[in-house]
Amino acid sequence: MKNSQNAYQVALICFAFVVLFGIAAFAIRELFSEYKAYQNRYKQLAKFHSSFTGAEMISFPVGVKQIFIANQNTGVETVERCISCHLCLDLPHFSKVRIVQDANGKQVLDEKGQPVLEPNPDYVWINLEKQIAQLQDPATIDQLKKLGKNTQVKKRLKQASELEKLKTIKIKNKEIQVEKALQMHPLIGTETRPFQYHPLEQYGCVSCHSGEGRSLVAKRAHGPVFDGEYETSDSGLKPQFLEIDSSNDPRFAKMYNHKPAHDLIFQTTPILAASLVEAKCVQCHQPLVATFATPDEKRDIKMLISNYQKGRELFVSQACYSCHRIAGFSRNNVGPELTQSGLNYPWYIKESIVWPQADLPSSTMPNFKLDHEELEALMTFLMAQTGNTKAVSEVDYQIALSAWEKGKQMPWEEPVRMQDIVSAQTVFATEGCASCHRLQGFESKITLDAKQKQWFTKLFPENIQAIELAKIADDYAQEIDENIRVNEDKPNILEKIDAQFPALIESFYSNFKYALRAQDQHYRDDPIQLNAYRERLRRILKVYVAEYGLGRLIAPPLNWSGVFRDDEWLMGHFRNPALFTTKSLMPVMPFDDTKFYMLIGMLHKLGEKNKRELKEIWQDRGFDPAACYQRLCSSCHGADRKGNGSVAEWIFPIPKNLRDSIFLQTLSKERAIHSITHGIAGTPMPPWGKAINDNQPILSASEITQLVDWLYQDLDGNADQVKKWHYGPLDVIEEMKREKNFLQPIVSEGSSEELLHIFFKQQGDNFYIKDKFYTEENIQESKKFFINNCAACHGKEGAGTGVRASTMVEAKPRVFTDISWMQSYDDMHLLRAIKFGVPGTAMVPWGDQTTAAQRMQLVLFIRSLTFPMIKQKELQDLLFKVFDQKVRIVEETRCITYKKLENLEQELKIAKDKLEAVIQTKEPLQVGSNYVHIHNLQEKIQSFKTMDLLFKDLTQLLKEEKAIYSALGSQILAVQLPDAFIENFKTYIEHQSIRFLMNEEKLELKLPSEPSFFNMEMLDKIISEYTHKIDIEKSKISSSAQKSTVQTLTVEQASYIQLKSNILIELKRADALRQKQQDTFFILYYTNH
Amino acid sequence: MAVFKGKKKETFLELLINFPSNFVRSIFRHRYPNNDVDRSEVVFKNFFLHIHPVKCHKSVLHPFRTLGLGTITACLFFILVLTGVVLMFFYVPAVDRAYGILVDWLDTTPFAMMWRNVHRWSAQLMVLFVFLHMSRVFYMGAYKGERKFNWVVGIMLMVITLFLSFTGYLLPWDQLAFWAITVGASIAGYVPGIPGMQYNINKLMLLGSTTVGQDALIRFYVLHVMVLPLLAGTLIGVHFWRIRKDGGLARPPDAQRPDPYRVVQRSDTKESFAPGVKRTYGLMELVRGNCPTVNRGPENYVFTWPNLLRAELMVFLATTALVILLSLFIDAPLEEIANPSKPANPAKAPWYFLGLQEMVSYNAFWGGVAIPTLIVVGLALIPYFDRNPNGEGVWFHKSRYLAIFLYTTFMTVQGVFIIVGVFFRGPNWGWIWPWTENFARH
Repeated sequence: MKNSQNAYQVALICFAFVVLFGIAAFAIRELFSEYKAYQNRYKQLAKFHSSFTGAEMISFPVGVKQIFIANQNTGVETVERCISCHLCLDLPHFSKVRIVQDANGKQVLDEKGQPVLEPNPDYVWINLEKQIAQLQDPATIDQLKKLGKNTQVKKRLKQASELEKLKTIKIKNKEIQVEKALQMHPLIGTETRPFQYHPLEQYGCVSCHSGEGRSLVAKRAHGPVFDGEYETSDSGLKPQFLEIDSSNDPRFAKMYNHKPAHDLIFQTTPILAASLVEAKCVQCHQPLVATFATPDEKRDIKMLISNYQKGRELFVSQACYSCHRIAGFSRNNVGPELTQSGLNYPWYIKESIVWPQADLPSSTMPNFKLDHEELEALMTFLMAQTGNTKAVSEVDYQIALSAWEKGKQMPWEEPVRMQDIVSAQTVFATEGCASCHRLQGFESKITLDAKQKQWFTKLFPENIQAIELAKIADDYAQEIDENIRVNEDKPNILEKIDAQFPALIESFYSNFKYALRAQDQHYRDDPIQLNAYRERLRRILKVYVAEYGLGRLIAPPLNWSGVFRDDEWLMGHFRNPALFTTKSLMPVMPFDDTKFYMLIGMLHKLGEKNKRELKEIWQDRGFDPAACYQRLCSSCHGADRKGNGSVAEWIFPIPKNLRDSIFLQTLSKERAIHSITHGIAGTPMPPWGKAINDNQPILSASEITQLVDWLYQDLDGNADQVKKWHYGPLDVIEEMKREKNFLQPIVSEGSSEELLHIFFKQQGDNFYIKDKFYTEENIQESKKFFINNCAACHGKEGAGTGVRASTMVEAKPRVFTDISWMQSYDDMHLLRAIKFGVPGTAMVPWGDQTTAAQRMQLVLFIRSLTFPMIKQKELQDLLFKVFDQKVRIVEETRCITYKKLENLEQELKIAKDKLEAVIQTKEPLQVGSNYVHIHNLQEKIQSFKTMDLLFKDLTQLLKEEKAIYSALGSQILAVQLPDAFIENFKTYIEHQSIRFLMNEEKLELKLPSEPSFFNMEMLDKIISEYTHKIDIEKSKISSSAQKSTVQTLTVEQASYIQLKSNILIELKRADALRQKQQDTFFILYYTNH
Repeated sequence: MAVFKGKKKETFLELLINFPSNFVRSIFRHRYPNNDVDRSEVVFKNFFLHIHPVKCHKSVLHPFRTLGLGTITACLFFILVLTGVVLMFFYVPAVDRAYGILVDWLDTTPFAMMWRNVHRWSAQLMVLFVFLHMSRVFYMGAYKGERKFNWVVGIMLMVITLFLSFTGYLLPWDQLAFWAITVGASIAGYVPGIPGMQYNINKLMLLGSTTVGQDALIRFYVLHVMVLPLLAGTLIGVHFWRIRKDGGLARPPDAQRPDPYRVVQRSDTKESFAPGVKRTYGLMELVRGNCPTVNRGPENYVFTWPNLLRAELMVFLATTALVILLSLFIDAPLEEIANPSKPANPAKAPWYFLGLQEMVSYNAFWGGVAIPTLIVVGLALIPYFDRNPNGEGVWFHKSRYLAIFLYTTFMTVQGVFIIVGVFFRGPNWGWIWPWTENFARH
């Protein structure tokens, strides 16, 4: 009993102490708050200041200092307490610099219009340093020691150490430099005193710097901004997006890298550090257009938000705008909308750019490896996006927005002149293409001869790492300076782009960006050396671009695309990339068709040029398969042939691992040659043996054979040894015979030869199962088999999206909805793949589990998956053939007339100048004739301008007509109609349309030879059939089932009737448009003559 | 013979001298309780203490009998009321003020952080201890016999505690609060409403609107600071009072019955007395139960003062210490201001509702409405359907293995749901591993 009583008492006392201790701890926190430390320090500094200026100290009461900012509408004022710690924001003697003034007390401005600054002699912190140095001066101390005044020495040193202590504050065991906090606010632009244009008491701090103004603790007020100062809550591995160089990386590299940990979730509005403050400027001021501003002020504003401007340009040049929508700016909406991205946290934006999959694992956005500098600018731009700015009224904003939504063109959406290769290259570099694609053919002032090129490629391989690059640029400085020299005077395309868009080209190469700053610390005190180093790197970059191409390696390089891709393919790919390359990530660029044609023209031109260069090298050095592989194949298949090239991550399907001997052996050399020559349709594997302009493909037949021999170095690769390739249609028939199980509906006995022609139709070497076997039963039967056995990988719709697909690393399941691929292989290919499997992939042989008839059924099913799409595609192809090519011809003629127009305008200008001169001579005859000349010219110009407008109209009319047919076509395809009807529709389109030809740079018209009319009989027949059916149904005994049947039939019939009337109306419209086209053409014709 | 004429009248001086002791005696009608009489009086003559019995059974005083869980819960409620009142002095339940005031208040008002932290962590702990207390009562079979209804009162208190915590969650008006309540309210929306009505009546009644806004805030405020605390306070009183009236805390029956058991005489029953006992204490016409025999004190009973009160004080101090220490080291979260246009992904309800939310993710109606209702009703009905008379007041009685197994399984499943909800659910309520990179809620 006694014991337990004692235990109780001890426990009671202990707990009471713990409670008291807790409360005391809270009390201590209250007593020693952060802001008091700063205020006491300020008092000491003020005392120090007055001690050497002699000025009287102004009394300073310690306490919370606040700014109250009245709310715009009614409501409570906002409180800001930043000035409780930042006490010296407007005290001139806490400013490092001061403005230089002339004799009249006016600011002295430099050539940029910025005030000239000089060090401030009154600066407290400098004076503090001086005082300390003075007190610690060894000479004086020695002297005093000699005089034996040791107490005085001690006193001096003590005084010095006390002053030294003023420099830091200890908060929670962390030494903090006070100088940063106790400082005057730097002057912005042309300000003569701090807060001249944004009075502190009116705007406060938060409206520009963000953060939490109400808080009195730095951690909460500032939020998590600087690396290392706050606890972060990252766990797990984070992909490293750039090489880290802690000594040279800019400060921004360490900012906003982490999301806040628990204690910072408490306050998550961070202050905007570095240039991100500019985002706040733009949220209030409309960028660049401050209507009230004088030119000087405008220049100031432009300078103050330069990072925002840079970010805006980057948003375009890095192709962000092609996927992300920002209302009033960019339209495409593939990725998340960024109209209000400014409401996000900076670290979220940073994380989303450098690691898009962090927050959304299914994101398909590539990591662009942007450098810190670009990130900072881009983040500034994105942080500024909050919808409307305060400078524009809500009504004006909505009006502007709706104008934009209705199609007001942004600069990049405007039509361009098509045959301008320089502007095409500029577009490639600056409007997003180069952000993913690499393209060779950008020349600079620096040219290397063949030998030097060899030296360069050896020293700087395409995939050179940043650290190596920096090292080589330094180690081989002399050699580089000797070889890489400016040899031409005229600025070439790279210089032109560089002048227009500074620092754009290097932004595509993170290794160069890294190398550019790699010696910053090393040459810190030697700016000349540093500049030489950077200049050398820039020269190397130019050669690198000329040698390997401009742009990133995220998508396949386009160096030779123009050689083997025709206009139809390229145009179709621009308009719908995924249709031509399955699962392509490429967005549809927001360009006008003319710009696409311009790019296509450039691709052809550069493709030919690159081809020539390649051929020249091979002529000089002989064809080397290994080098050829590195040049042509390695970006996808990888330098070590393992299918892991730099592009591999972002393309579909996974590039084949060419080290996989089983795969290669089964493929056989023959097939490999075929694949290289003809490419693999529907995939990024291009047809290297194809050339559309001449008979000179990039790889000739013998070169391909050499390449394949090299790939099969140690392997036999003989097709004869592979059973798979001997499996022909006759074997299929034999198998069916043996299994006594024929593909329905026809079972007939006969010789194998006879049966072959019953089951297969032959087109060249290709065998296809005949159309009559595409019966409902066959397809349904095999659909069941497919879903049970194949769908796990290939997906239920055959789109390659089965559950197992995501885990496959060597090769993904074939996508059966890929029309291009499906059309490029015959049915035997599919049958072989099913029977024997595809070694080297997850496709196992199904020969043992299936009968030949089942396999044929499967082929039927797989083929049937693409039927609707094929019809759609055929229609689109036809429309392209009929209309787009016409549009192109019209646009080309327009370009020619435009050129003439430009020449005339030039002439007019010259004539006018001449007139001025002639007037001086005062010879009436000459003056008169000149006037006549000018008049004639003006008339001509006028007529050309009219022509230009007419051309525009014509293009528009053609596009409208196309839209009508396209819409009608989808309507017709949507309902079940016999193929003949669709064929009929197609022939109608083909016959009806007017043809334009370009003859000697003039447009010519070719009317359809005979008017064709649209045959509606089939539709009428269907409708009358329905009437008949309905009548029969109606005559039955009335029941709910009967009623509903009647209803469905009526609805179905109505849809056909609707279709018919639609066709009639729309065809009338098309007729009218065609008439207009003719009229326009004739007006054009007569204007021309 | 001297006649007692009453107390002698004091002189004025005596009056003055005696004034302090008189004054004290007028408040406390007993002397320092160092004898049995005063020990009795200190309890039954004190308004605050008279909810205790004068004497209590020795066995229930052992710390490992009850683990003090009920007392801890009551202490937490007391702390919550105290700190809640302090918070009320500052708080304004308006959407445009609430958050700002909190942010303002935290850095500028002395001890603000302490009040808020203590309030927050007490609230969370109270939910936890309610469940622990309930489990203790179950495992001890303490709901049996006379104590059936007190268990039901306890279930009611559990529900009220959850509601108190839930309503309080919204008041800071930060993102955490806003989205937790949005999720919680949408769970309420799965309760079938009035057919033909455009909005779900239950959600509408809870929020006062279709979305979480000013209406919901004031509603939650009133519920949180007035309706629910009053209700809880009253029910806690009932809960305590029932403990006494139901014969004290549950304990196994004594080895030998010292006291006669007597049944009250009613018109329909016969009076029955324990044989051989002549006189007992007790209001025999009214009260059913054990009656101590005259001249024989109840065995194994000790005085409440100091034994029980001392234990209670210790539990109270320990609870306060725990809460203060928690508050000292972990700050109550306060995220950025509520922003209806920026939904958190995933938006998670308060942790004690995450089991619900996890179940809702499988099936909205069953997980959000039907099963929780069944759980509450089922819990309340336990004492009426538990036919096993054994194990009252005994930890894990052998004969109750099935009941214990079922209850443990049920609680474990709920616990697993909560743990899954808290740690393993990421964006779009998808599965994540807590040790891999899990991303900031934006």
